Amino acid sequence: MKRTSWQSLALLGLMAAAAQGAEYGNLTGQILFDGEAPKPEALVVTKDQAFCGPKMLVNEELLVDPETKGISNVVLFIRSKVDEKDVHPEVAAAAAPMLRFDNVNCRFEPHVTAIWFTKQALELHNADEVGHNSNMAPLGDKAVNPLLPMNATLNYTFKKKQNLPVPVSCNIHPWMKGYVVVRDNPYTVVTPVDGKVELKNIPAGKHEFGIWHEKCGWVDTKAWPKGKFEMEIKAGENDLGVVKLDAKLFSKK
Amino acid sequence: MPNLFLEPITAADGAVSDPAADITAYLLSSQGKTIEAAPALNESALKELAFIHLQNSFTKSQADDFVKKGIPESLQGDLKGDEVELVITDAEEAALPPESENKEEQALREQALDKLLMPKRLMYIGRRTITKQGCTGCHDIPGYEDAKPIGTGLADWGRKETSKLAFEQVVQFLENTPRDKGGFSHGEVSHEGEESHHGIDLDRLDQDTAYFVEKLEGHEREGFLWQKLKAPRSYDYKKTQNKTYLERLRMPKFNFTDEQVEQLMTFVLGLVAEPPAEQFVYKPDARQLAILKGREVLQKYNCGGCHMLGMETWKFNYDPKWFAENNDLTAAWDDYAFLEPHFTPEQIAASKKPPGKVHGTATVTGMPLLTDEDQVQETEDASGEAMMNYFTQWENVAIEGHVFAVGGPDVGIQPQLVTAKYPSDGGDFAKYLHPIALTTERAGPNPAAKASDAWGWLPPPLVREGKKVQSDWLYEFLLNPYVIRPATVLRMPNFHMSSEDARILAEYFAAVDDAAYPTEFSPRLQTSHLETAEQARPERLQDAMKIVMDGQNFCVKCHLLGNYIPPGDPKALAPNLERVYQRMRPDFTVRWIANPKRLLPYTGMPVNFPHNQESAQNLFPGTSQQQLDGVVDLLLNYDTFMKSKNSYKDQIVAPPVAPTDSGSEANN
Repeated sequence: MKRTSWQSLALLGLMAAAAQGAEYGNLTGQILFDGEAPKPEALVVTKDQAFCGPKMLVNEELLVDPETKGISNVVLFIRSKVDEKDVHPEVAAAAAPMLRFDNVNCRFEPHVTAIWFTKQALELHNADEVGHNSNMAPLGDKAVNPLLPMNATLNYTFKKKQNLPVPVSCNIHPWMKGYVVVRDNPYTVVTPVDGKVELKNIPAGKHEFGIWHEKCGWVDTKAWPKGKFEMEIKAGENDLGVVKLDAKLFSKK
Repeated sequence: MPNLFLEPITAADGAVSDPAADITAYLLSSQGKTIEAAPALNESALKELAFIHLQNSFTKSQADDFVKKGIPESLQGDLKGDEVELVITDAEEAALPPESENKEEQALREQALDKLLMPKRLMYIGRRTITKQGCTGCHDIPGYEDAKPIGTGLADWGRKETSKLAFEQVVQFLENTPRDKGGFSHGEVSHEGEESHHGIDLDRLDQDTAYFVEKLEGHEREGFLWQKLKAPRSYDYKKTQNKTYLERLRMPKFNFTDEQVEQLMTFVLGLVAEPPAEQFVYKPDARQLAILKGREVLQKYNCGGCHMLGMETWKFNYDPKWFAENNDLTAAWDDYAFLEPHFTPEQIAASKKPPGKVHGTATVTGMPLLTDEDQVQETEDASGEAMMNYFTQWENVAIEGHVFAVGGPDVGIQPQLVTAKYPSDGGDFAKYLHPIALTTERAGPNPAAKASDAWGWLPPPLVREGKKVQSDWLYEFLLNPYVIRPATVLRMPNFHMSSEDARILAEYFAAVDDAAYPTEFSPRLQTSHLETAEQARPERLQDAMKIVMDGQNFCVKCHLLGNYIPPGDPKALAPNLERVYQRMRPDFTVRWIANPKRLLPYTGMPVNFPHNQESAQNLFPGTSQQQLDGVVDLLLNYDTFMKSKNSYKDQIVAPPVAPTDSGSEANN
């Protein structure tokens, strides 16, 4: 253990040294829903009704905050290659080696999570008192579908980056669906309730970004054709702006 | 027609629909097409046609008489064929106005007689037309079981004397008919207004056509057959003037391609009514014979209409560098050892790109990864600059020195290097239903339904069926199908098949999958095995039963067990575990429970006892392997286990036994 800690410190030291000469920028912005915030539909609970029924489950495909109009679970990430050596040491250090993807209250928590697969593994966990399964088949990677009784876990290491978020489902509770965004760099953000975007310490320079949402797939707009756009990240602050997405975009599926 | 078990369905919202009524409404609706009214009956044409047919068996005056007045019942005994349809029974005759010399009364009689005869004439012409046109060659029509085919016998056509072939005016047909109508006319017209007879200029024709035309001109067999297949009725050219309607040629034009014509010619010319030489006669062994017979029965009941009998196959080339970048060729096996597919070192070596070649080649069998709209999914490759497909393999395959096991990562393929795609054998209806089932479920209670889930609600592929189910069970199921998976949107119909057909199918599936039949020995079913295992791990079956019956986490959360039906959506229900010992083969069962995706990649059934991971220790303390073995042994010996829980000794009150003299003597 001691040796591992020394190694980690040494690694951090090296990375910090590498970062000294490089420049980094932060990207901020906000993704809003242009229209009346839809009220999420209540889900029909068809299994374990005594436990799951009172959880007031709703369809999480499209969650819009009525106050801010912020859209939850919009995924913004750097598509282009980011060398591991260019990752800011603080960003690297903040990446926990194990990321929990939980079954809580008969839903996946978080609904969408992002993983830096070369550094992080996924811990499929069940915090509920009823059994769940977590069925996941990443493209070109090992498919898993463990049965997870209460407090059970299964650790999973991705072997390759995924272009699209990987859906995870529970066959026992068919309404349950979540996503894991599997990337080869840590620069991915999943928007919270207010739709705010915040990616810190991005290596300065031109990057290609991808933007995706569960309901509409690639966020295909005039500014972001097929959910892609390029942006020059300058040292310091970079503003994506407040982007209002047309409600029609989310009625495609 | 099979019994489709179309029972009313109650949806989650309580709405009831009746599929039989829905199908009826659909079939009776015009489905967007305008149905034109049938033309009115042309009675004079009907009479004329009846007259022509009757002339074949009777004199003109008789034929005319019978058309107008029908055939008296007194002549019925002399009638051999369809003419019986025209018989006027004595009772019918009695009901008609009597013959009269009074014109008005006679007209009334003839009017009544005509009305009586009209449906009889229709029946007569209908039957004659079926016979004449040879409808029974393809269709089963009641009453025509003994009907003879209308075509020339082909059994020895390959050596039929050419003098017996009626070439008629066919060469003239070719000479005088324009190219767009099947001939080779030059287009010149004679002074008489007919096309000039310059003969056919063979130099203008391609080599094959010229060859056959030459054979036709020389009245040779190959030429006759070639033209017969291309334009069968061209042999009636300039002949119909002297032929009656009934004498005209009837062979339809099948619009064969040139390639099909040649294939048919090769076959027909080879029909020489002699058995093939002994060494060329196929002598299947018992298994091969079972497969051949099974295929006939599969076709008879159109099993492939719903079920996939073989999966889709792709052949492709690959660039080894690209392949290694887009597929994980380094992954080590991390599942139960008995699930690991085995390839010989030679097979692994042969799977690599041959030296000196730019590309390697491979073949995968299974299902390409599809979008929700059932289109082949395209995704960016590792470079982000090109697109690729993923293919879910249903057969283990070695590519570029790496084994891609069923249930493991899908194979990444460059679309532009796919050289051949062979569709699945059967399953068209399941494929047709797939997007509908998915859309319906998403619109209903399950908006999160995945495309892969929907395959589980459809008629299942029958790939590996022989390795999966016991032959005896399959035999009985085919004779009396029942609901196995409540989640399916269709029920297996009852085809009322014969016992023999059911047996043939049961043997087919075992034979095609190289499974043991008619019986199979399994150590897991032996008392000695159960006793030994019980000694090594006491109460293992009892503990396994705890897992099976744990409705909070394990089996009965989804599976039916006897009369217990887990609450919830029928779409999430799984087969009754009480029947596993009757239905499933032991080896399949252990593999299935160990990792279901290794046998059925789209299944939603989870891995209950992940390899080398602790689980369910409160129910069955032990390793995952022990738990797996315990549950498998329990399910495969379920009846024995349950019987062991029942003690007749405690339930039966034995009558008192009176002491006997012999007993006293014996004691003495």
